[in-house]
Amino acid sequence: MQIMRTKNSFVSLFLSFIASSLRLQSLIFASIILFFHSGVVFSAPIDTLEEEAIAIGSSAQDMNIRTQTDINPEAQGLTIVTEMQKRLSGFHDLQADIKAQIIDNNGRIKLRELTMQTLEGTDVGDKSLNTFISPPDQKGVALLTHAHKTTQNEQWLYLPSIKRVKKIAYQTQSSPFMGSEFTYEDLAPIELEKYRYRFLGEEKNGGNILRLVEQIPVKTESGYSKQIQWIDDEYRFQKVDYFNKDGVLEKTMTLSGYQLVNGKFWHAEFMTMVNHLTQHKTILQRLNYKINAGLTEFDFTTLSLKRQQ
Amino acid sequence: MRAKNKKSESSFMRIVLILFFFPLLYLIGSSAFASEAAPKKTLTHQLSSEIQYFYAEGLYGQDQTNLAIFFSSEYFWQSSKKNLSFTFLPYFRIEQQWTYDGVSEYSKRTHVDLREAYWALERDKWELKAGVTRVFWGKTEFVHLVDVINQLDTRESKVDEEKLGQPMINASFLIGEGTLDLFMLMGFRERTYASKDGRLRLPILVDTDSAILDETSVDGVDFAVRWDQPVGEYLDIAVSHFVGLSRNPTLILNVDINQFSINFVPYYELIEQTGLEVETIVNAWTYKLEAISVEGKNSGRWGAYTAGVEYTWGDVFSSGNDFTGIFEYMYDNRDQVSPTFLEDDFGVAVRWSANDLHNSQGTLGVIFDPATEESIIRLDFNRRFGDEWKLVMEVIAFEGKGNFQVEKLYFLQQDDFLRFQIIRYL
Repeated sequence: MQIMRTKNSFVSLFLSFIASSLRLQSLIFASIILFFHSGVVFSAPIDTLEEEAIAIGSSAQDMNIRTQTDINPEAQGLTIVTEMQKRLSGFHDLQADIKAQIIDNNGRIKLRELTMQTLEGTDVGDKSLNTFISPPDQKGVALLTHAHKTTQNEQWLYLPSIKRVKKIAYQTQSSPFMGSEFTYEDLAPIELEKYRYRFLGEEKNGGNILRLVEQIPVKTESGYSKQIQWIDDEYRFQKVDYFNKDGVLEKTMTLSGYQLVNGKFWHAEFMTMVNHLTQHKTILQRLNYKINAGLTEFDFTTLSLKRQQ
Repeated sequence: MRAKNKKSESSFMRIVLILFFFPLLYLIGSSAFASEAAPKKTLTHQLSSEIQYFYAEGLYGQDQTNLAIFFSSEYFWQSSKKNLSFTFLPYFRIEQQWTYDGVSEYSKRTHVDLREAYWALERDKWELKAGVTRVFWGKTEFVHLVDVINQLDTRESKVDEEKLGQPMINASFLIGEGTLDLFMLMGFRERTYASKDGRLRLPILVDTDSAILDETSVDGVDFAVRWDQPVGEYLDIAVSHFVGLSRNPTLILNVDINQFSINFVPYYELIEQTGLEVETIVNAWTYKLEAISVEGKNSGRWGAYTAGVEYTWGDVFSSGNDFTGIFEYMYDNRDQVSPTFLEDDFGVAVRWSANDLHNSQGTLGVIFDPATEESIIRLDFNRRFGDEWKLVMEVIAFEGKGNFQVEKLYFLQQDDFLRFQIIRYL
């Protein structure tokens, strides 16, 4: 018997080659949750408001804006968003089921479902864990995010079909989230230090006075040149206009279906994003919303990431 | 060294049954059912059919097409307290051609496997699993040197890196941000090989019935440990150690003068393998290293490593498409006698994700051996149709100069193929 080393095992090697990680990147989805507690309330029916929002949103300059010139608009803008952030903090943890309706310009609807869990960071940034329920080929795929206040966020993706946890580069913020009108950036937490703010004025909307604040990215790679945010007297977003790199109004998000959770936190059940350039629309709905649901840091480890089903 | 243990397949099922016994005791003794909330149960299925078309007839006259169908189901149960779960994932595959296994007269075209069948007891800082499951170790893309727990499923891994289920008891402990894993692996799974009518076969067939397995210190049991620890926000390091039978056999030429037959016999050597994994992500760049040092009972000490970079380019030209470039180098100090193709090779790949409603993605990858100027090219595309259907297309080509003397892939140069697969999720 003579030992002859052969080339047999390359077969299995090439077979596994790259396929492993093939599906990784496009499955990346961002920490939706973190955005959600910045939710606000609409008191009017959703449909009316959407249309109204689009109508007025198309040009901020056309609106009936009462400009206040006696106060520094930059300082005033920052004051408003800082107060807003303050009111959104202190929730400790939250969880919800997400239903996304992705609607094209012919009215065809695709449904996507996922669960989300978030742990509020005290010294460190927030942690979130999102798990897909549908479509079935992505069932069980989960994304763990550890946000950092000053440095780049850390993200791990779990692929149940090959049982692999892969740490991924946080580099796809301006890509669409699952083919929807939301990008990862739209769904990520807002860190005030990364933007410059300016108060633009006030606008009457029914009985409410809305304050308009402009947000311009300074320290961050953004897919937008600016955003204009409509903030009500409860410090909640009513509407956000997104302007693309060429300065053209690209998308408008409206928030609706509000409830006060735990007597303190405003929870917008619906977030609707309309793309004015493609006429596509995505509606995100949050169900079974729970604040202070008893999650701990142990629900946001790479060990617990693999337990998702 | 001993001849193949004929009991190995039947003992596989016995081990599975024994492993189930422990968690059942816990379940009966505990108050897992006491909570008012109902336990969670899910059952899903996958049905897939594929056609593989080879551009040429095989070197040994094998057919140009092969059809295959596979079916798998996954059942998941989780106690209402979410601290105990059970996963069950059987898998069944049937091929048109009698393509497996080696020279066996029982050459098979069906393939049944338990990918998963385990209980998991889950706590905040630790976890205990008992049963059959799969484990992935490693960071790199082209080759997974450190990944030693499971045997590869060579029938399926054309599509993905599929593995056979491995019976085990696995304890995991959370230590800071890191994880310590201890494994006791019972029941060795052998690799399957193409039969004489199968494609991607060697010129000499592999006689899996005569496989040789080294004796392990505890009969039929292998041990492994791995510690994965993040260092700061940017660096991840994992070290692992494995004592047991190598999953990757050496093929020994066996000439039987009486039978006038020449075969390969797989030899599963007793090894001790120490592995190191390092990964660091800086903005769009990911740097990776995997290295192993192996002490084989007969082959002595040898080592291998693979190192590379990955660059992620998100939302290219505001199109919503993501691209990832991968470059990796593979080295094995056994050099040209290495039982792998990847002894001194480069791998380059581009991965694309459309981020669209259909989750469209593709990969173009090349492995190149500068010494022999051979390469393996792989092109892959997949997308969803509707919500329940998925299409996979794959092309693999083996390129060489046709030099019989030095080329390691010479026998595969007629095996370039195109594969279409349709998956239905139920």
